[in-house]
Amino acid sequence: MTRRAAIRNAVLLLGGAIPAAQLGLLESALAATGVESKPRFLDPDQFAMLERVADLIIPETDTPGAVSAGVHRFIDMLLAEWASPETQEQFIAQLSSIDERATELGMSGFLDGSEDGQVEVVRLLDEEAFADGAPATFFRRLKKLVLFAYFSSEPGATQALRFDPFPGDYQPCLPLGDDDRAFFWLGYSYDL
Amino acid sequence: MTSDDNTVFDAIVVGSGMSGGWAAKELTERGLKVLLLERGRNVTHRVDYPTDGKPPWKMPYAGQVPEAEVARNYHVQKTCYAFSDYTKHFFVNDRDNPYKSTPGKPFAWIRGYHLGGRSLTWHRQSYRLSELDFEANKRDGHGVDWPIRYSDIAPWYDHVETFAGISGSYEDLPQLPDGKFQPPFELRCVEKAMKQKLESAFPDRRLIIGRTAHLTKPTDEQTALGRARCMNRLECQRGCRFGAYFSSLSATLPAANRTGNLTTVTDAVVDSVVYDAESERASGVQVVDAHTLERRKYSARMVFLCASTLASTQILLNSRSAQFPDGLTNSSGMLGRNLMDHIGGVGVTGTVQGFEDTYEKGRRATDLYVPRFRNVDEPDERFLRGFGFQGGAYREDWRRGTHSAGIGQEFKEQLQKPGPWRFGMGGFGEMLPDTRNRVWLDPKHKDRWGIPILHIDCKLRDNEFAILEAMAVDGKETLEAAGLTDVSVTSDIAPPGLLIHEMGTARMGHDPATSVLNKHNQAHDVPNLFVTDGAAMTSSACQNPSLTYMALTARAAAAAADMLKEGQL
Repeated sequence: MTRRAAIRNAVLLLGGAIPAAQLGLLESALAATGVESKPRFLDPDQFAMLERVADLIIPETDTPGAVSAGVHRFIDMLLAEWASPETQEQFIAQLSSIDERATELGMSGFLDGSEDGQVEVVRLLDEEAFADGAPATFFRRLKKLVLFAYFSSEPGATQALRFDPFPGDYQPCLPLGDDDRAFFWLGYSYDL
Repeated sequence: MTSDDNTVFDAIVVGSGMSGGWAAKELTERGLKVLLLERGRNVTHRVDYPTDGKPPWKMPYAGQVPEAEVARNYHVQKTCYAFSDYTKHFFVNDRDNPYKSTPGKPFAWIRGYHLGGRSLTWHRQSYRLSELDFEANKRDGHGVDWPIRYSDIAPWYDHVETFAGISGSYEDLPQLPDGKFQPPFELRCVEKAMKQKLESAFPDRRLIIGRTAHLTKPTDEQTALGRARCMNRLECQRGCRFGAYFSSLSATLPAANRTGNLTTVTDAVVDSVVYDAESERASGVQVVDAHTLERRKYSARMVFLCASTLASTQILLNSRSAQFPDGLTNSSGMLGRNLMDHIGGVGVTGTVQGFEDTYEKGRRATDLYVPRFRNVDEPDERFLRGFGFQGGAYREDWRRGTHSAGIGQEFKEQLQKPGPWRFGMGGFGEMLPDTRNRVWLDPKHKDRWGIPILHIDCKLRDNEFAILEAMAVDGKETLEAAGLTDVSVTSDIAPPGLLIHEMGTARMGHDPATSVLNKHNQAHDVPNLFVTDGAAMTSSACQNPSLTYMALTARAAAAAADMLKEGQL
């Protein structure tokens, strides 16, 4: 669903009807609040592909998924501000490998594929990336970025995991129930 | 105080880190008027810890330093495990602080130039050296004999531990003497089981809780300084608003300040120690303003160099006069020689079976220690001296997802739960003193303050490589004896410097012909000059050295204050 379609749906749900020109205004207003914004580094198709892949790796469950945690926006921001020119170039060049894989599987492109087709592409890339003795692939790096972005986001750290900023007493031997989640911990430094 | 004036201080202390903070405290508490010089910026405890308590989503890049910034400013500092966007303001900018190392002999000089120095970012492990260590050079003939023995420093270990606050357990080990401890952090269930297995298989290999400079039961004195007990956040290198770990800013400098005898000047880069040929004494220091580059002098009755091993050495090498053309107090030729670090880079990991129903709450501020067990009672034919291991148990977390296959709901739900228990540890080995491992001033290249930069020429040699091999073999054997499976060894030998325990370049010794400092850290050649940071170390032992720097500094300061009162300086 595009952003514009999402807004239209939201407006319809509220029982309203809204002219297209005003949809644009609403979009700008949302962008200004930082809730939703255009990609800063990727083009719209690349951004949509990143969003889709992140969603397939970390879907919405009883806790927020990668997309509602803003993982795709965060990675786009990292690419715009944090990444070196070499990293930027590599990312763009290698992102197209996802489309290439989709084409090999008979789709016209990843974004045009069916949901099942997209899952198949990502599963295949994942299996290849983590096969014994596999060389470091782009997908491996992408998955690491997605996991880092997700679990270090507020929804990821505080809802998918438990966040404990001021533990106080140290309890070395706590019983763990079947549904108990792991505590968030970033380590001293994390090499992306 | 921005220009020369006529004030003559009782003492100038150069450097405000681990050693300098102690020198300032001990000297001011004995009534001396002290000028503390710090080359970096001022840091105010609590106020200037901008990342303390910040979750990653409040950081611009979740704790990652932009790649171009790392490449431009931090190509050396980035190799430190604690370097991140949370801590980069406590690391030097490598571009502005150049040094050279001989091609093929890399040296990682990890530094923090600001008030408090590396006492803000240290790993806080605090171990005493033992009689075994103070006798080591004499026994096997490497280096020169320490001019002190354990009994000389033991009361000073007591003194600094009591004030700093060291948590630890009493173990009665001759190679790792007990101290004045606050209550220890507890072992995880898994670690208790490992300990039992290991110690019954190898009674001489002990798995003990780390001794760490964290308050677990603050004394009245510590509370009065505004310090509180550790909250188990394990974000220490960002600075701690609770003052729960020992640093100059949380402990020694507040103590020095409350005497009313301390003057602190930051942004003052010490170029050299000024030597007065007539009195054969140091008369003060020459300083360059870090920003304006204006040069000025400060005068004092004695000088304590606590600028860190290599920085103090650089200052002395740059203090040249007709009497000391090769650097002040270098009549022995030993100034700049015998550079040591600890050796490491060998890691051992394994999986702990079971215990799936146990977890922990809080991020314990220390891991475990396996004290040295080689060359303690019986000689080991493979190498001289010894090594210890530091590490701990942990349940894998979401990060395991970055190196395993899986996508989708099931994968996500797995990563939300703690993974299997693992245990990892790394070796810390002793490096022999060797006159060939040395530093000198580059004759051609000066830094922005007009000071000749250091050239470092240091490498590991046969005994160090033998220790690294033994770490791998003994480490694997140790974890297997502790009941672990899938035990594997990784070896990525650290360049000297990277364990951040560089020491030895102005060593203590009995003989002025072969050492720079005497048993009170007093320069053989210049009686009112003291060096009490890591430069003074005659051998490296394998224990983390900061506690020893603290004890040596406090001991030297007491002796120096007495000598000053008795007119001997």
